[in-house]
Amino acid sequence: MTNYVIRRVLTLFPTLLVVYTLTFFIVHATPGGPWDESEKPLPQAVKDNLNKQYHLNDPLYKQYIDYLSNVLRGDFGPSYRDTARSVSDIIAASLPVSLQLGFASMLFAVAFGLPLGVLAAIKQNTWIDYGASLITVTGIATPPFVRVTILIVALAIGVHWLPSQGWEGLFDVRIIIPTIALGSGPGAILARYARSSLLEALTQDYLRTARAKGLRESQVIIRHALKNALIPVVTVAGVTLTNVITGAFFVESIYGVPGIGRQFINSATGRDYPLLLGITLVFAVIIALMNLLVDISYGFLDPRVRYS
Amino acid sequence: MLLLMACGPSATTEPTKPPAQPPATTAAQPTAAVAQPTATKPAAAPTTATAKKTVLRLPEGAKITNTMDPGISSGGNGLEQIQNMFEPLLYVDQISGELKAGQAEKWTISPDGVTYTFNLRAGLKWSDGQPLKAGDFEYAWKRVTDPATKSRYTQYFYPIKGAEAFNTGKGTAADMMVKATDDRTLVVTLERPAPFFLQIVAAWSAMPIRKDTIDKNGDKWTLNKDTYISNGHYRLVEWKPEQSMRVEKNPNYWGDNPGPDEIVWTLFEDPNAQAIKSYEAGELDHAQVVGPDIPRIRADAKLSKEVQKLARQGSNWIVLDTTNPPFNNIKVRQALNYALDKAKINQVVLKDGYFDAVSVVAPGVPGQVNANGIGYDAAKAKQLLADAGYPGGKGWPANVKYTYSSSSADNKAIGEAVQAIWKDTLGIDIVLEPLEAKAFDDWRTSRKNQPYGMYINGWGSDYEDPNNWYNLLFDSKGDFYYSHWKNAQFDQLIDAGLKELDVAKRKALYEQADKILNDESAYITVYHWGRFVVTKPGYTIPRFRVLGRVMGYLVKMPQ
Repeated sequence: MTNYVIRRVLTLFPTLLVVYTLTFFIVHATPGGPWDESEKPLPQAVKDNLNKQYHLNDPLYKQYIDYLSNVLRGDFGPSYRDTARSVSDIIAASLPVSLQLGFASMLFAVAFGLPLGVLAAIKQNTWIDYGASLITVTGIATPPFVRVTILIVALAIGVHWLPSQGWEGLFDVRIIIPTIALGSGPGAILARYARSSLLEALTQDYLRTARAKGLRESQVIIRHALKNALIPVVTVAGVTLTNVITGAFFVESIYGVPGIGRQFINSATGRDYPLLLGITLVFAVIIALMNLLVDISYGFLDPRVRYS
Repeated sequence: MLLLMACGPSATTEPTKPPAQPPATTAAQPTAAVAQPTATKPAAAPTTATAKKTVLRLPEGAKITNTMDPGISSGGNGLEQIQNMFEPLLYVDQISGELKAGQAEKWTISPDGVTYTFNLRAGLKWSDGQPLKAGDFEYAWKRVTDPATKSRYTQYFYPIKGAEAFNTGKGTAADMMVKATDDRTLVVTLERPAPFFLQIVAAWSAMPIRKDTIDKNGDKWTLNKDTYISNGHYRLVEWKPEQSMRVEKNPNYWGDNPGPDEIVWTLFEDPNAQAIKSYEAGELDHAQVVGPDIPRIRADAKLSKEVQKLARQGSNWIVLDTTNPPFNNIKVRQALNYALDKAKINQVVLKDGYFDAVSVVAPGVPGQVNANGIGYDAAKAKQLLADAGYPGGKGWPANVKYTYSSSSADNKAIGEAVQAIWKDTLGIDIVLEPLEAKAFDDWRTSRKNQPYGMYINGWGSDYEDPNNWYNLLFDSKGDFYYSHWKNAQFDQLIDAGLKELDVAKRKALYEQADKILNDESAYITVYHWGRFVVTKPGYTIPRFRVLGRVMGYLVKMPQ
């Protein structure tokens, strides 16, 4: 197990190099530069000076090596747009926000999706199952930016129960709207996966054995069926957690959450190369670690999975 | 001999900002605990100390960050905060548009128009209580011009002798002719007379900056209230990037400040589209309105009473490649211009979101004349196109492209409208070519020496002077928009206007140039900038047509 984890972590480095190389050349091949930022064009002399000051006139291979060697020394460089803060400052400020919002959303997704899926499976083909289907399909079909807008219009403008925007951390009412908006999609997906894998598990022979032993039905489902049914659910949960942390751009923008998804998209549309490269590398690490966690959790859920 | 400018009032005749009397500014500060120990107004009236703090709540764009440094800002998001916290030697009155005495109490200009001497007020202080000296201006101006500062706004100091050489690496800071001769006197020598120079002195790049905080904190000096030392009506309390910024009255400001005790800006990713939601939720006192929200709010029983339409001095125009057929033919350009029903575009397509185009340059800029504009005349347009060899659109080349940045929904609507109007009126076809915002910038830059059809872009005044339009944008030597348009007479007129010291003669020169600019139709203006704002009842929030940022000290709060 330990060897397996070490091996997996070591393979991260070549992966990161490939990610860096691809991202670097793609962003530099994309037309446009970082400087024009308002409704009026900047004079060419100003852009020329900025290109010179930030070494953007150097040959591309030199920029590639220079940035890479800086990153290896732990320096992600300055942000072009945000001259007061370095890329590391921006990531350090925005990543924890997205992690908090991501975990809150996943917590909501699990708390809402898992019981719904289990209920739908146990009561298969009843009105409860159909009702759950309606809720989950609606959840999957509406994108997060629609959900967050509906929630703002209803809860902030309509009845004034919650603020219309903002972020004050995990323990403030401002977290409610973005959490529901972000978590209800993954929650719906989890519900669908939980339902179908539980239905499959319910037909297995070992359940008949469990029932024959005289266990109560709730015990049969929770201790035997659900534990096996969770494997695909955990896989999906790992992927969706990554998505929720890295892909919350619209919800973060619309609700004014200072998270990293927003920084990522803005750095791409603004051609803020150092920030874009820095965040891409951070995301690559998050995705790799999340996959590793999912793989490790299989070992606990399914005794047949062994790592050596 | 020195000529004393009549427009430089002394401190005592300044109507909007009488010098602060001891109880005036610190009285309303309940946060007396943070009052500077060196403050010269210790006699804060205790009677009002318990009064409730007045707070003004405004929206701003979240991408404020690089622009909180007045020496680097290109004037986008963050300018409103900078203007509230810093004050240049002179400032533009946000109601009348006149230049008024700020940190300088008076100034003199030599008769040849090249030497400017500014006399600072006595007893000026920074927000931390340190004395403010003329040297702080010298430092700030040279810092902006230093290429290593990476300022987005350098070329506005080019009229100063030695500035262009320093900025382009051919000269040194010592050769840039701005000198603090003592703590209260700043002497500036220009390359040649520049009648618009005082407007530059009033711009944000000319605000003073504290050398010690930059030396100590580098680029990070803007982030923190202890390092962001300012000299204007307000000073920083807290800035949470991408979230909010809070400022309070600066007790060390020389003048009075009858505005709110605090201003809080909520930072939105897209304030134009998003702030209205928070306004309707009761979290803001003022917001801008754009797009589909405009007709909705005008139809709303309550909100329609709170909405106002304000002018901004700017134009959006179609730039034609005047060296590329068919637009190398002036008759074709004029035909397109006459055929374009600008009022219809603004009122029908853009839902009256802006102001109908009257001429190339926006109204209010000295030299601009409404009568010079090319109005809508379909019959004349058809005739001109026939005279140019394309009767009824016959023989019109295929694949004439109209390029635009797809970042704005307006651009798409305008493109489709222009295409349809020219098809209906002139029988010609143009091809729309939308490009992603940055790809569009790249494309536009490469038009310097590559042929194209036309594209849409715009300009708004940085300061209200013809130099900021005619010389900067349309001079064939600069060719800012790459229209490749050349007119010797126009160039001559604007060169003369640039140096002319007599105000009336100068205006007349630009008026002649304005006629040529409109007649030649290298630029077809589609609309002039405007903006819709909503304000909670009881508030008065003046905004001037140039820059038009909210200045806290002018805001009247409900009683």
